[in-house]
Amino acid sequence: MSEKAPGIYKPLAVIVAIIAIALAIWGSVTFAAVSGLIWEKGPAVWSWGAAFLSLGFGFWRVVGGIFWIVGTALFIMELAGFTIRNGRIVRQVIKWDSIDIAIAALVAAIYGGGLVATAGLIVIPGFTWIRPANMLSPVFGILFGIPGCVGLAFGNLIADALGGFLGFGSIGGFIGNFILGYIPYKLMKDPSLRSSRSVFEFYLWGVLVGSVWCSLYIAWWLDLVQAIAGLPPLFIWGWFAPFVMVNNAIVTAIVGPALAYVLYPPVKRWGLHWSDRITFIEKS
Amino acid sequence: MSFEYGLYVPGRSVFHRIDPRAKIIWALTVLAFSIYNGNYVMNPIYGGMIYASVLIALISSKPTSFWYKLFGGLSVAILFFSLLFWPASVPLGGKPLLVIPVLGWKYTDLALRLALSKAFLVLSPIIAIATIFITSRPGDLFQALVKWRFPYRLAYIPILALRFLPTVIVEIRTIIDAQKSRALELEKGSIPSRIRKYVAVFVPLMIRMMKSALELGVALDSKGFGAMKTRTFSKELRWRIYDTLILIMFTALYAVMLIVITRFLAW
Amino acid sequence: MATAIKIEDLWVRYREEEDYAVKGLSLEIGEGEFVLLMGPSGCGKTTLCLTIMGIIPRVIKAEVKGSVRVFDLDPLNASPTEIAKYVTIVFQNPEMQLVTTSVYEEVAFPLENFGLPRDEIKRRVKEVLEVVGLSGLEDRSPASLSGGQKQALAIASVLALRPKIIILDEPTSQLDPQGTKRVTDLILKLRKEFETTILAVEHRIEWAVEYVDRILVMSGGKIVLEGDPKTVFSKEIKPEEAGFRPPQVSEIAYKLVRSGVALPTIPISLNEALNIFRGILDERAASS
Repeated sequence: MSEKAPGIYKPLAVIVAIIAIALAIWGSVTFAAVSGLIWEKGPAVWSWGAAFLSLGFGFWRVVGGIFWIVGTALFIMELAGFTIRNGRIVRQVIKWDSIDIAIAALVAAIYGGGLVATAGLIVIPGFTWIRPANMLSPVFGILFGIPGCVGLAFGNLIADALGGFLGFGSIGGFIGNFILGYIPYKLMKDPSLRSSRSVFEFYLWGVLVGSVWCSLYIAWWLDLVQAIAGLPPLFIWGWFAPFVMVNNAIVTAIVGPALAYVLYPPVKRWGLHWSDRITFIEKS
Repeated sequence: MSFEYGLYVPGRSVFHRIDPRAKIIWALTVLAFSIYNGNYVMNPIYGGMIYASVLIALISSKPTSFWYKLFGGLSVAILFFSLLFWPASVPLGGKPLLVIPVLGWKYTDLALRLALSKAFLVLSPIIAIATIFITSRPGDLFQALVKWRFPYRLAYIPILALRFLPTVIVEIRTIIDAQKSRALELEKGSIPSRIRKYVAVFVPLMIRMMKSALELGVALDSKGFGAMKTRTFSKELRWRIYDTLILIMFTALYAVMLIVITRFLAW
Repeated sequence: MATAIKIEDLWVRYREEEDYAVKGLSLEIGEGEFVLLMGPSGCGKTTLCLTIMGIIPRVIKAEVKGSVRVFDLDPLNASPTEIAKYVTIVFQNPEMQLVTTSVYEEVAFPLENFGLPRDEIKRRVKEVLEVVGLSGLEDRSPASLSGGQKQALAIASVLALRPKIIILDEPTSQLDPQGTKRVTDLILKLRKEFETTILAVEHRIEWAVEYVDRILVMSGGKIVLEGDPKTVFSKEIKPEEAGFRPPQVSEIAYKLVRSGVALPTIPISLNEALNIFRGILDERAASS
């Protein structure tokens, strides 16, 4: 995004928000449809899952594969201490001192504990939740950077354990949730949420791209390790992927920007914001 | 559902007493046999037996009712989903065996076999993994990870998160109660409006917890966390002959069951 | 008596704020002293403590001018591990400082971090738990303890490393009288057994007034009043201005003085007050 007139972001933000919310509503209708057991007659034509499947498994396996490979590469690179900055790979120093450990652990506890304590929104017991705590994921990413993303990854493991599906598939959820925080952290140029451009960036990267990437990442992994995780491809691509995508989009679109807006100043004041805790080593 | 010790539920069962490393290896054994059955043998009776063995492990360690409800509900849900999706995913021949009334779903013997085996493939490993967490103190799991040469700072993140799980849950409940007394009805309204109400819960929680992140970080420093490259453990995990025996016993049990069932109860 | 904390002309200003939170503060605390830091909220108490701990400016970014010494250490430029050997802080809510799931592990944790041998750890844990009065609760989870016990455990867990200075941030604000008594006893024991220097930030005074060596009163980023409790409370202190209440007996005494009763001194503890009032009554009885 170049230096365009700031005025353009306001209508753009509104449009992206409307798209996100529309997708969210479409998605909720789908789940109502599926949980209403109309599957046997074939998925209803207007449903989200049907739209997914109409493109074919092949399409999703290729697209998901690209997201998966890029996502995994980014994850490994970041934890090995490298990052992309201004189009170049540079070294970054995250101290992983006590404060970073504390941030990651508390993010994980809030994410995991939040999912349990707010589990009043279970759609189908035991398996599918609207997860209100998911609203926190892009927010944690843009506030705390890599320690926040690592916290999200571990928090998802705890949430999986408390939801009863901690297994081999959780490895995908681990990195998928890392990415959910990582995308807005890395791609939002203005994380303050105090300009219409910043809000637009939040919707674009934090809500749309983040949700899509995370869900395709996990789905592709589940599909890859099908023999181990034991979930049918029809379920993975026709139900799970759209569900995760829509759940993340709904909860982050509705409240994400407000949360990030409120939390930015105190986090900055206490010196916990990632920009105060990280140094980049750029070779000149 | 207080999660006073994270996921750990104190007790003195057989599983509480074995080394966490042995439990992790046991869970991997369960996973391996489940994969073999779910993909190659596809015998629902064998799958059911592995499932029964992990259920016995879970029940013998006397977890809280939360875990019973969770895995009860989950077992039903996964069986349901498996029966719903697997036959539709893979076109199979075979004799028609079962027709579900009203819904009109038809199952051949092969479809049923596939769906049930796959359901057990999903269920057995997750219950086995949950049993590890229910019967091991977070500190002992941490030690097991460190003994397996995980970097100890990173290995400590999930352990610390488990420690603060009950704190977060108590905080959230306190905030929810406070908001309810101000007439914020979290259980009413459409899903989007319910989600919006959770902002009123998460903002105060986050502000308090983030301030705590600073205090916690300072506390860790005060306790010399990360001061040395290696650390000691005052209660060291010891691998005993007992742990080996239990592992051998379970592996032998799974292998013998596999042979017996595929020989004599082939479906 | 060696100097434990020495601060000279300290100025601290948070980023994005115009005014300084601490303005040219100088201070000296001797080894083994028990000092109470009081003042209204926003007077710079917390900032001062965080600066002594080096958290400002290492974590919380701020402009710091002046010098801080903790024994022979400069906390503004030292690593957290070095600082931990000299000074440690116990925050108001001890819950966030308890990082394990049992009392035993909690006290053993710092010793394990420093790689001490196993037998040594067991011995020290036992010793420390006796000092703080938590023996017999080794297997309990921190969450199941009472407020006073949690506070004691938080202190115990840092005690195992024998820090020379302990900063207590409102140690009694969330405690009932029983819990407060436990903390008071613990502080006295620490001073006696380890000669620990204690700096407590407080709003309440009653629990400590008989034992504290010195009271520092802060306002607007400076120390405005300083001295032993007797001196500090000898002149009337108005709670709404100072941000804390003087001992109740002193408040009664102020009222008596205002209504024209001549008191030899302003009492700060109940026993002292009883003696003074008894003396006055005896005098009156004798004169009439």
